[in-house]
Amino acid sequence: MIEKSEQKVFFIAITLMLVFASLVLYAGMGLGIVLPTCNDQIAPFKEGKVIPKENNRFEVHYVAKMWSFEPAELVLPEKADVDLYLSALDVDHGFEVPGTNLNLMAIPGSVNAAHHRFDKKGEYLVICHEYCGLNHQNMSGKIRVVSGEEYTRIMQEMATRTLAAGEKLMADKQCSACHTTDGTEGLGPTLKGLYGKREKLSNGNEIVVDDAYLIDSILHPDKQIVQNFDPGAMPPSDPPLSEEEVRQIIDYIKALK
Amino acid sequence: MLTDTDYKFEIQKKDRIVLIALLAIPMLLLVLGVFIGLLQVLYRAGYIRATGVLGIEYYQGLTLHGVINALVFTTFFEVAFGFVIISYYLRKPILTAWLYASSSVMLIGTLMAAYPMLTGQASVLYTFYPPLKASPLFYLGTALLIVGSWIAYFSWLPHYTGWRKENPGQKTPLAVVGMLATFTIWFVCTLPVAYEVLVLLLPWSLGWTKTIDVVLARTLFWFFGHPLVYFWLLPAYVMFYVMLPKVSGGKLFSDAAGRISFMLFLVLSTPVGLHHQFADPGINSGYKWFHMMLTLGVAIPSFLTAFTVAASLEHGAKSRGGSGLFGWWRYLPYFDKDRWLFPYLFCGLVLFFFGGITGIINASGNMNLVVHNTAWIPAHFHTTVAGPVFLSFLAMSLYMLCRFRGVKVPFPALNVWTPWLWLLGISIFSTGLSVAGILGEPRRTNMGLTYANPASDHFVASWHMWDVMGAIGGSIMFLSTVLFFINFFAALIVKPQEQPGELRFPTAEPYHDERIRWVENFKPWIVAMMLAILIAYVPPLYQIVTGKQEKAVPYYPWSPAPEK
Repeated sequence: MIEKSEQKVFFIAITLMLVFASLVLYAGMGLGIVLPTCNDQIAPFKEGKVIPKENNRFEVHYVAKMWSFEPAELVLPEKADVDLYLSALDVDHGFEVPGTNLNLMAIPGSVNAAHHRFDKKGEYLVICHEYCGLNHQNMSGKIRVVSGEEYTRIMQEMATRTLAAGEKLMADKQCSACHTTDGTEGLGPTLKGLYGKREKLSNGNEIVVDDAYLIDSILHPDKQIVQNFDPGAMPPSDPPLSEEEVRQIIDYIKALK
Repeated sequence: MLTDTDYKFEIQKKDRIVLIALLAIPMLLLVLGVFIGLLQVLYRAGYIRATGVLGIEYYQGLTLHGVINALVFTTFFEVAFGFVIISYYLRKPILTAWLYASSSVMLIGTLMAAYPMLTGQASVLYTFYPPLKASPLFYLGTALLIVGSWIAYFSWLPHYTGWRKENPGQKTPLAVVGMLATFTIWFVCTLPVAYEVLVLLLPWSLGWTKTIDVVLARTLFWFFGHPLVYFWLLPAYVMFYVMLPKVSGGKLFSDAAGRISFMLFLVLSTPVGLHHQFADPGINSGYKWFHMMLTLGVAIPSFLTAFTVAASLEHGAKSRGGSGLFGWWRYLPYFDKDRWLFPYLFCGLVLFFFGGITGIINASGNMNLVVHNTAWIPAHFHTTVAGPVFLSFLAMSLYMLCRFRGVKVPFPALNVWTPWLWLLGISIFSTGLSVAGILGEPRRTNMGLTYANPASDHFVASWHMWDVMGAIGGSIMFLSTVLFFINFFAALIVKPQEQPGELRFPTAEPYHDERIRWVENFKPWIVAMMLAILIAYVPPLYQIVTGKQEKAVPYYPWSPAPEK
């Protein structure tokens, strides 16, 4: 057998490692500091999203791509419980939020997931910590955790800002020349109360005005004309509106109840 | 028992030339590799704020630094060291044809991989994760480098089996056990990466296949990537067990401890790779926990080694007149120009103490969430691969070169100070990067442009002073390697003063020379190794291969648009 003191060292080393193993297992099972695992619920996605749920819970879909995160800036109320899903659009990326246990790899083809409760207010840095091409060092984002009141204010402000952007676009693109916003008659249908309204089309079909109809009619004005209005009266925007601009206009229309 | 007084070993000229080339060629590349290392710390501290300097783009440089220092230098050295150790201790001739074949395949592979790296066609870092894509030459070149080292391994096996037959009932020399364990691990763990490179990446980079399973590629890489660490480390352990006790003036405390350690490494060094993928999606966390437990297990033979080596040093010091519980520490040849292997190996051991502790932290999955992919990681592995591994490989390269050429160390005073300067530099460097890492600073990032640049929106002030520390430490490390290169390249050109090719390794006798039969035979341990690998890797690989993840198309590092 090996020498006595070697046997002791063997015993001490094994004991020490067992102690470490139990501490690690306790941190995992007892404190819930767990590792990412296989995730079957959500398929790889291409768009970043924040979905508010009940009880200050949020589902956030982060997209990592060369060389930014989507959403680039995430605003959350204090104590927000976040279920975070992470997808990579192109190559491998990292997702690290210093000061938290959020530290994940973003791998194309799979979705990574983690949970974190943002108990402390403040600004958090989101860092891509995996080399992802020549501009890797520019790839970072922000998470702002604010008080509940502040959060409500920011959300309202953001909504107003979107509405203001929509209103300004309507003016710039001269939409308001024909579409009134107060219910009075114009060359085109009034926008007041338009969203969700039943309309009869010139081809005899009846539709409900929803996002899909509005997108279609903004981009291709002559496709689905409401009864009693003239085709050719509304030229499509030139240069064409971006997806975001269309969104802003629709949000503005929705607000005109 | 083989001691260094009764045995003269001579290396033929035809073998010497190739062995010298195996040491000198990667050393030339290493000059570039460590210079780029210096640039890295200057970028990180914000002293260089550019996408590149001197025609080397940052990530191109990072790729060169990793591939040259960690793959090319280590593999070339180990093949040379292995050839000499096997022949020296088994008293068998070097098989010249195999030496030539192995060296030329490795050299061709290295040149093939160097070309795209130097021309910026392979800036994918030494982990070459898809779907970032490099030139096919890069994949083929690295594969050839590996295949070349297999040829060396195959040529040693008949020597070993022959020796066992001729010396029934005798213990195989410990150094031979160590080198065979090293290359057995290497051979087994390079099979999955060879599959990744030749079957998945190469046809994909040639455009023959369109998409690739990224999770599978990463898992095959780390199947290789962690045992790779032991491929680096075990030759250093050979020097710790066999040579360090002798140069410190004593005996190896326990011969059996060395054998047990090498056999345990054989079994435990491979089935642990998932601990590099704790943060990955697409792998069931149960498998990660299993690999985590085995990783803690692989620390046990290192503990045993640390104790045995310390006990051997104590024996050495006490033989030299030291006494007391701690007083003997003063009696070691820290600055002895005639025993200069001692400071190199000793400084490596000091660094490895920290490397071991930080390694256990990384292996603990929950703590890893704090440090994964941060600057903490390079801080850790610079105390392992750039600690005992680098120092012992440098020392042994110089030692063997001097013996092959029949010269003395040209500047003995510089030589004794080199490892101490390295120890100082890396202590400062790794402290800086460790703290920065805990504060969240990412690794592998051209910090100078953004995080370390006060003019950028991304500037992070709290990391800065730690990066300055990294730059100070890194500069001292660079200076230390300059001292080393002066000695090495001078030894390469000065006129021989002694008979070239006459070689002796300092070889310690065992203090306790126990016979434990079950660690004197590779067979049961190789069976255990295979079983451990099957248990640890078949379930996760099955899960990944049958998983529903989508496959990825290739991208070049310079464009967010997929390759057409």
